[in-house]
Amino acid sequence: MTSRRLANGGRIDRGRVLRFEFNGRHYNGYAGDTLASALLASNVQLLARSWKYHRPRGVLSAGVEEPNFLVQLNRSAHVVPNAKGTEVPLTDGLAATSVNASPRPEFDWRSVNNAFSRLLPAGFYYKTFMASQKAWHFFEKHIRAAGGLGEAPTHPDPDQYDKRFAHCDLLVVGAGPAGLVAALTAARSGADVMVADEQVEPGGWLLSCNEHLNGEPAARWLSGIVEELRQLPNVRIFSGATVYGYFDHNLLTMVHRRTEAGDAPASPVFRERLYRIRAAGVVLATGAHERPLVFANNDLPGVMLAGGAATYIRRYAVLPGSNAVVFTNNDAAYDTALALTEAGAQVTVVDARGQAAGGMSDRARAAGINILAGQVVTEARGRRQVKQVVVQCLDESGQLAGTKRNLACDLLAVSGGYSPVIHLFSQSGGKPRWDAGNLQFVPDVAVQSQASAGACAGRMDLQAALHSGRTAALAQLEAIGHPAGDAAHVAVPAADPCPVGDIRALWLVPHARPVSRAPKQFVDLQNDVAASDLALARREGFESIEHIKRYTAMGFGTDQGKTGNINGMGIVADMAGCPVEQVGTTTFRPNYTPVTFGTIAGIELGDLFEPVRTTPMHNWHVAHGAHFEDVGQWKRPWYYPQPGEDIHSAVRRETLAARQAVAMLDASTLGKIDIQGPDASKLLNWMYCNGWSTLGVGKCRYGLMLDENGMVFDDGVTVRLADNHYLMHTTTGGAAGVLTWMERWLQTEWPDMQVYLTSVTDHWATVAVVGPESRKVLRAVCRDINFDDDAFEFMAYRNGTVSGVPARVMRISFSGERSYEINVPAQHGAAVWQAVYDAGQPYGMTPYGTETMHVLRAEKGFVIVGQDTDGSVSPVDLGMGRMVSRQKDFLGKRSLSRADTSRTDRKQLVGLLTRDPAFVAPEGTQIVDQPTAPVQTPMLGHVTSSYASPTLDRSIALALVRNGHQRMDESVWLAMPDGSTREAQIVSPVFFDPKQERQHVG
Amino acid sequence: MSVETKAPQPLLASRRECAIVNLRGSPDDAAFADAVQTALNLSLPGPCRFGRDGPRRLVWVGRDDWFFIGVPGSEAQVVAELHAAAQTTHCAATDVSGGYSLVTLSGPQAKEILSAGCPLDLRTGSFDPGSAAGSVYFKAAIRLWMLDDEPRYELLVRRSFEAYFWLLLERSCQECGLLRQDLV
Repeated sequence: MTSRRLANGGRIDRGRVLRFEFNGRHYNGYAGDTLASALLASNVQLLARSWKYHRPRGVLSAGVEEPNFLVQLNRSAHVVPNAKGTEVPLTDGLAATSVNASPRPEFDWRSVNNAFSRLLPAGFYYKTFMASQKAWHFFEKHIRAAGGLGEAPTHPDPDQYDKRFAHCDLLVVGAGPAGLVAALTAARSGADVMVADEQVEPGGWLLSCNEHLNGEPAARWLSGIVEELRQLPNVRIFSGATVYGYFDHNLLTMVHRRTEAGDAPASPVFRERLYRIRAAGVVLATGAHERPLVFANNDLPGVMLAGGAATYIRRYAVLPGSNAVVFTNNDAAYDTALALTEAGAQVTVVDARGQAAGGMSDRARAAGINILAGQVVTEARGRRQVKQVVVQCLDESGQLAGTKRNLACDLLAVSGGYSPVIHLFSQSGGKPRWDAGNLQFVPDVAVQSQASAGACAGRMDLQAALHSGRTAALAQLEAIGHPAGDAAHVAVPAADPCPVGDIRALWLVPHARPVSRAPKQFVDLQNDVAASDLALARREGFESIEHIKRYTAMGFGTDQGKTGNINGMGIVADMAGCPVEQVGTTTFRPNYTPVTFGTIAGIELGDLFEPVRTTPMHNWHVAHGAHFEDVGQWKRPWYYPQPGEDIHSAVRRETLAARQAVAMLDASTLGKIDIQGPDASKLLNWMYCNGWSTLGVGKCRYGLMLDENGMVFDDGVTVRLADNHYLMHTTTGGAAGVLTWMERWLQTEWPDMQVYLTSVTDHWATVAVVGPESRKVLRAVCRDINFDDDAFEFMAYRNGTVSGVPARVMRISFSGERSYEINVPAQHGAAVWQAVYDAGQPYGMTPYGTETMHVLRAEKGFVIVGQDTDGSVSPVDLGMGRMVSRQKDFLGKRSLSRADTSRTDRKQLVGLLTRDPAFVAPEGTQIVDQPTAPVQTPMLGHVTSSYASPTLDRSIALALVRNGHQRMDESVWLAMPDGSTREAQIVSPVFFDPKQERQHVG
Repeated sequence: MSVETKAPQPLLASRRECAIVNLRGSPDDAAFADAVQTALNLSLPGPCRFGRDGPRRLVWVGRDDWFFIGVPGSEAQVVAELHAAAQTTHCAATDVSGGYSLVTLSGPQAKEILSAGCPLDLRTGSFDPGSAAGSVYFKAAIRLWMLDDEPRYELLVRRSFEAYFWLLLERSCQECGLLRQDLV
């Protein structure tokens, strides 16, 4: 294996040899290499197979725009699919495989597709396999397996990721010549500057050019300015950091790959970090991507972008070919011819322009490089590697002329001009403008506080780029109102004069055969989209570039058409006979480059995916074996199984304890709102559909809250603590919504009401003591409250001391049993809970969870808002019409008299008893009118709550049934998923204790 | 300045329970301001500010909304004194001591670790000693203020979110380390 490594030069460390593996074979490279440069140095040219035709592919570029060389990185469970080999910094022990070649690029059985490529045009799959549904189901799995790129990891990602919010005065994106000058200019003003660069070290083009600044090699100036910036306390430089999204209000997102660059900890815990940056001003200095040229077989390994070839030579000291042809339509590619010549290669330049004119071609001419002006490469030839090219004259009208000539070569460096990287500019809302002279889209007017500088603003001349960096920074400082200070004195270095020269429009190089019969002329290498596919799309009626893109897949994939899109637009424009600007661009959307899901998730995974709220008694519940249920963000005990118990036996035991002895429930999660002020009663009267004016101090009342449509949206017990002081309870899940709802009315509609609301949900821990023996337990823990029924009646509250802690005790019941709810400040919650539990032991105190709570309340027909209601249920529908006050106004009142709301045959809450008492209907079961019915039978409603009732020793259910209140004792049928039906009888929803006697028992 | 070059020092975090009283009243009502001054010997801070006197704090929360923070056990007395001083002035004082705990974060990493989950601009000149704000730490609502340039921050965290908050802090501090202290 011959090495293509040059003896000298490059920014690699020849003292640090790194071993790596590619497709199962071992190679060596140097620190500073990328995977691509190390493989090229080892003379591996065939690196990949193309996506659709599985044609042999090499590396096209040396950077982020790479369409071909995608690899899967595997380091045990550390898997990165679809990394670009041109961006992967070489590390010791790196293991990579080609993503699209099975089993390997040298032998890929799917390359048979290439033989039939003429039969696989754009739209082939849809036309062929979706002819019928059945056919598609058969073919789909094979097509899906063949499509796609890398493989999703099969194990959880062992790496960790995190995030930062960041703020700065000026964010400079891109640390090439323009970005560095912009950063230094802004930094000298004292502004807080962030600089982000996607490569492993700052410098951009300066890392691979041969220019001089202030008479010194550019690299020396580069190290000077980078060192200066690193010393400044007001500058943060990020390498290996891609700004991938630009959103409103100058919010930009950046991913920092912290293992790549040298400025992060050696082995960071967090592999990548996502930054959400709020920048007062932004300078985009994102550079430009070189375009390939579109000619026959332009995808052969050995066909490479000219700028990429120069980068491999100068930055990585790799000579990609010793007998090179440079094919260009512009002057910049002559820089590559010079680089090749300096490295000892033979070079011929094929220049489509009639006359080579510009600074670089002048230098090439002076160096004696052979130039074929007015000529083009119409076809590349070779099987797995370019061996020769076909060259012919191109006349001024764009027609091939003269005779064909074959030139032997092992490298074809191509340049079709440069496309400024306007992705972020476009994401920010800016519209690009077509520069017809330089054949490129450039940023037009900035719509946010932002300026573009350097090549991304169309400044292709180094001196102009450097100046534009300074200008952009000064303009942004002014725009954000930051004094320029010393910024105005920043000197821009002097570059070697080098006029940019002109460019010849050459979107598609003609071939002797028409586009549909010529060898593939690729536009988008990653998606195997050829010029013939664009022609086909147009023939089939797709005119908008957005439609053509979706029909052909041009610009899809991991590279999002960075090299191919503008060529494709040019070709479409030529075919349509209109200027390129009329074709326009496809939309630039975030992300600029793919971002791993790990980075997007950060540390908010698994147990941190959502907040977990716990009560002060949580540890006790855990210690006593509770199984938990998620209620909103809360963890509530669901049931407390004893050894050998399942949920049914545990709930049965807990329920019977509450009915027959005493049980306790952690009710701390209920929403609690403290209401104070002279207008407190007035506010409650508006909020609840029932009246509050008559509630005495020390009394509690159940309230029903409606939305504007008259539909129930929350309920709970509210306590009158003093004349102008109430405590409102809301549902666990509805607490925040109710507070917001009340504040909204107070702040927007009734600002004159004198009342203040304070959330006290977390302040109070609540222990509900339930059952006939509950009073005995209360008497044991609380000596300063008289628990006699005539002193402390149902729906009253008293202040007292429970096991030494000041407490509010309310006699309210969500079970029908005698029940006391003890409220203490949360810091005492655990101790009071324990004291109550201990005091209850002689009476069989049994802790119970939400499941038993549900059974107890369902036996009593008490609804749960959000389970038995769904936002379309009025108080009348619930059978609570008598609660609705006629004496006062309240929110939702008018809606109750609307025609539809006041219908008498709406879906109404009823009880259901299944014919088979052992059958517990699944909640959500649909209810129909007949035991057997055609498939599309009208649904009467559905089961909202359903339990096996230990108290009644049979199943019970609550349901919303159309006209249910008028259908008592009638039969309905429950439609089961298997098509069968089960009979049930409509009954009152109050299954137990209809006369409310239980609360006096004990 | 290149990022992250210095060997990080651990974040110091402590938790304590305090007397916490929510004060509501009109900022335009001189009688209310006088009542607060009389009862607490602290003047009402303006928007996004807080005042302090030894371990006691008075923190702005909203245009008619403040948190008083004092030594544990003093909450009932504070509420009573405020009500006594306010007389007939329309205002509200509510004991919420059980609802929150006070967390102090300090050390060179404090800003950085806060920025993992808090979107506020904490740069000097934007959030300084004396500044206070409501924000979030990931999905937990917090009140946050800056004590000094050490830097030292105090946060109010809702009790039910505490386990979530501390787990987040622990995971965020994996590179710099976390020294946690529970103060009585």
